Amino acid sequence: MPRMVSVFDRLAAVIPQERIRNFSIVAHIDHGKSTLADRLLEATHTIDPRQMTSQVLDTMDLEREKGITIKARAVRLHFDADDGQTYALNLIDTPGHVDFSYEVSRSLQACEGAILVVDASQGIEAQTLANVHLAMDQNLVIIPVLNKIDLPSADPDAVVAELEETLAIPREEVILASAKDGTGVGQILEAIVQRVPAPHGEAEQRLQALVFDSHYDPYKGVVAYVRVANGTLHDHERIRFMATGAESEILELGYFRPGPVATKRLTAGEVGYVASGLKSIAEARVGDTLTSVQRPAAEPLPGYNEALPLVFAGIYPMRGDDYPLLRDALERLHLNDASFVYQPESSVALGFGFRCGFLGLLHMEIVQERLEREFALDLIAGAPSVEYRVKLIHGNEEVVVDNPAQMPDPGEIEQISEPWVSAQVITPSDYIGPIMELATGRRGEFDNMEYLDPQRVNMHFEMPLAELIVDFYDQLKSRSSGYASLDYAYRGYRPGDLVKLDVLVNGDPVDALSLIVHRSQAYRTGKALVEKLKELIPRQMFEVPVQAAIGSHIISRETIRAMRKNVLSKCYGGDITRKRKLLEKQKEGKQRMKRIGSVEIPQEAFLAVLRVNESGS
Amino acid sequence: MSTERRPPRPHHLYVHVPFCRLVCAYCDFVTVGGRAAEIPRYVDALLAELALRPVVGQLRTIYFGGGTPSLLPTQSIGRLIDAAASAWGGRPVESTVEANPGTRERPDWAGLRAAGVTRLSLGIQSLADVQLRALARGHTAAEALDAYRAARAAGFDNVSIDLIYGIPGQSLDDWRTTLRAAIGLAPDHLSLYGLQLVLAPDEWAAPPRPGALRWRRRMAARQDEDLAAAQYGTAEELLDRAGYRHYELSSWAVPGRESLHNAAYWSRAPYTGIGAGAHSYDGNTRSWNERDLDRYLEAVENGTLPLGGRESADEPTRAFEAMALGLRTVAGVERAAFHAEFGIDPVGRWGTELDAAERQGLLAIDDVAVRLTPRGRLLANEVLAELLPAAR
Repeated sequence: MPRMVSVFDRLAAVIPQERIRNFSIVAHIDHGKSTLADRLLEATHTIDPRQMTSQVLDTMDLEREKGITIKARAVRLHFDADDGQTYALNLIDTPGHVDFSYEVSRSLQACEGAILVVDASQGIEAQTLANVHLAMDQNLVIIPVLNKIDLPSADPDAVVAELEETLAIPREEVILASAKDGTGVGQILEAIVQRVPAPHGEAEQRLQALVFDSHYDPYKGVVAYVRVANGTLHDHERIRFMATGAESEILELGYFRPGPVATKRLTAGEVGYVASGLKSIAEARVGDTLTSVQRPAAEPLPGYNEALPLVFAGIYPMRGDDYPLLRDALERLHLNDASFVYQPESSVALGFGFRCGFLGLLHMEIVQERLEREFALDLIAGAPSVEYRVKLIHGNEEVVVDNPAQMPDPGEIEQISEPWVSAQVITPSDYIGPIMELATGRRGEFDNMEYLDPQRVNMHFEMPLAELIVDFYDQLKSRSSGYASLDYAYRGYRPGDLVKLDVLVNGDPVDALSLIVHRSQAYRTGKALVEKLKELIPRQMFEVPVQAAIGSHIISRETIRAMRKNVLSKCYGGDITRKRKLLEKQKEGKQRMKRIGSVEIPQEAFLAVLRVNESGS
Repeated sequence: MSTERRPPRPHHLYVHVPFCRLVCAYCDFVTVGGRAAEIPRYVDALLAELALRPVVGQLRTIYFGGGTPSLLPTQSIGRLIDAAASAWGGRPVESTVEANPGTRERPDWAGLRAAGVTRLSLGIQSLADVQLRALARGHTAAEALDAYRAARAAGFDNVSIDLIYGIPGQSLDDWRTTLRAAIGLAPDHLSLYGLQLVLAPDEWAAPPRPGALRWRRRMAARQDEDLAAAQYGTAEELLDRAGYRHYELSSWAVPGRESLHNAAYWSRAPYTGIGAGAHSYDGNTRSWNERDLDRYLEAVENGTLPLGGRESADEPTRAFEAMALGLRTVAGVERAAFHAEFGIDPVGRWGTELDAAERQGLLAIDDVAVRLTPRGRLLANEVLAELLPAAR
């Protein structure tokens, strides 16, 4: 009974499980992952080079701008290998930032192999190392690729030696490539076929499909990206997400080439997407297992975790009227990104807004930028904070505080605990001193250090997360001329001698500027903070004192002098229209400031704490 | 029906001359460097543009601004004055030319007199060499003094000089010294400008060259708002003592020597501007010429008006401009005149805003006028931003 099938469908049907290869690319930002992916797509005719906008896999504008991949995508490539057979290669893209390490681990779980891309002049970076370890833990075959060998600064011998030293990768396995000019691409494709094993799994068993990513589509509801571990997914069958219990009927099943191609089924070893029609992405969490409602699997696949937010910040609309818009925007964004959490809160200074929790600082930046860009909102984001656990003198329960303004009165507190992380920093050995100084200045405790090669070291610290989220990464970069890289993992809570620092502007406390600091650093931070605020708050028509206080004790003070001069000194015929436009700009600028008491405070001031270490320290 | 003929409306002509020997890094007027060879072609274009313009009133003042208009041959200036006078009728009561004092760009003073120029505006800027070097002015204090004396000797009895304060490195004492030296020359008029460094290029200013922008950033980082305010205060004091009348935010004059041409701008009188980037106002519409020299020349040589853009001023915009320009004058905005034009007193129109500014000590309001206080003169933008018409 002949039926109409698409070319791709037919091809898929004839590629048996032993000719499927599932792989990811692990690389540091800027080491050329996206460019290599582009070349693989071109070399396998998955996309016409003329239609290629660079970096096809990063579909969000933000990703392209930040040079990182936020959401994993999976693309199927058909490759005619030297053995005369056609293989289906599923490229599963992974996020490239430490905030998303859980998502990376799920993407890797969907693979049997990983291409490790290392810049031939830069060498391996901390995060790449962390991700390679994740891949090795999951027994993935690693295909090492030295990229950018066309650059004059490339030093392949040194980097090959480093790979041998740190990861025990035999030098003969290393492929030399240039994603830019295409060198080595064919060799990489052959290596995938020859070195990566075909997926295991039985098509006849009960269905277990790993959700390694998901997104929300306004027409198809939640679209889950899956790797079928066992069994077969059939179009239109009823499915269940085992961890959340959500059930639905499949609206569409398919895979990407790189556009979506619908198919009737996906069987063990295959990678594709499931349009579920579900309304909330929280129902299809990354790491969950999809099964059939009719013949459910007994057990989910191992390794499911709910990603926990570590960094918290207040997000407020610039204009109070925009609160409902912000609420709707957060709701809609949350459909697409279940990993951030939010709940309403109010601030004396900023009015009504939301306390949001993020996986990390970059994640926070991305959410904030998307809110501003996609929903055209003017926002004030407060300084990021962590979640403190506070033991009170009276009462047995611990209070959880993620907003410094809500810290109980010092007299009621018996003890405050804060989250700690273990951090690893890979750096050229020249920068050991400055980095040691940076980390210990941030209350970091040095654990140990190993040499990766004679020039590079891997340093291990334990440190409070709160110290890490406030510009630690930027400082690390600037003190190491950009060479050091960072990875960190949550370890647990530890008590600390912490105090709440308040800021008063013109005598009024500004709750949104409060922060929790270690007592030993309170004076220095208070001083730096009021100095920074003095720079950031423009002169007003009157003198404005800015003070830092612990409780009722003022520890630092600066004065913003009254404005003296704001006049267009020349105004002739040609200047009249221009003058009005310039005044309009000035007024717009003012409207983007928050009026607290009678003082106009610009948005940046609320992030001043992020910048207190820029000058000095 | 009246058949009585009304007297022709007075009209003012601005002539823009973009050529400069050196383009100053702080300047954001329309200027070009290194193209002096095209001056004759440009003069022809100015004459052609003048012929294309409708006659809308009788010529009262003419002002050659730049750029460096003193780079024009004096005969060309004479031809332009004559052409304007014969096209529009009447002999101008004030014909000003801006001139630079450097020896290499100094005009033939006697020739200018003969061409019909009655008033000079000398870009002296400072009488201290160290500040002139900081601004890269290309002339020295001695040259400035020479130029001034030569102009006087040629018979100019109405000379204005421009000075700049707020220059990084210029102390209050330095400024006082320059002012005293300037007063010693006994000019008829002084214009004092705070050094304004435009860092964010806007569509209304000539885009700065990248080098100029870097220079501005460096200089701006060294500017001191409090010092500039003190320098302004010192100028008010010294010039008042020397008998000059402060009549506009940046202008002082011996009584009777106020600039008639500039006063036309501040009283919103209609004027026509010719030349690259020049602006015009006909009482309802503000329009401006193509700013790019090549496109300007091409348009005029093809027999078309070189229009760059226009914006008609609606009632709220006109009312705002009445305040923005009127408050520049020390006499302020006359309440009765405002009422006569807009049907409402300014205090009625902007009750809250004017009241707030008065309480902040920026405005003085009496029965006759609304004016800026001495403190308000330095904070005029703060007052005006509150009076802007709602965004359209």
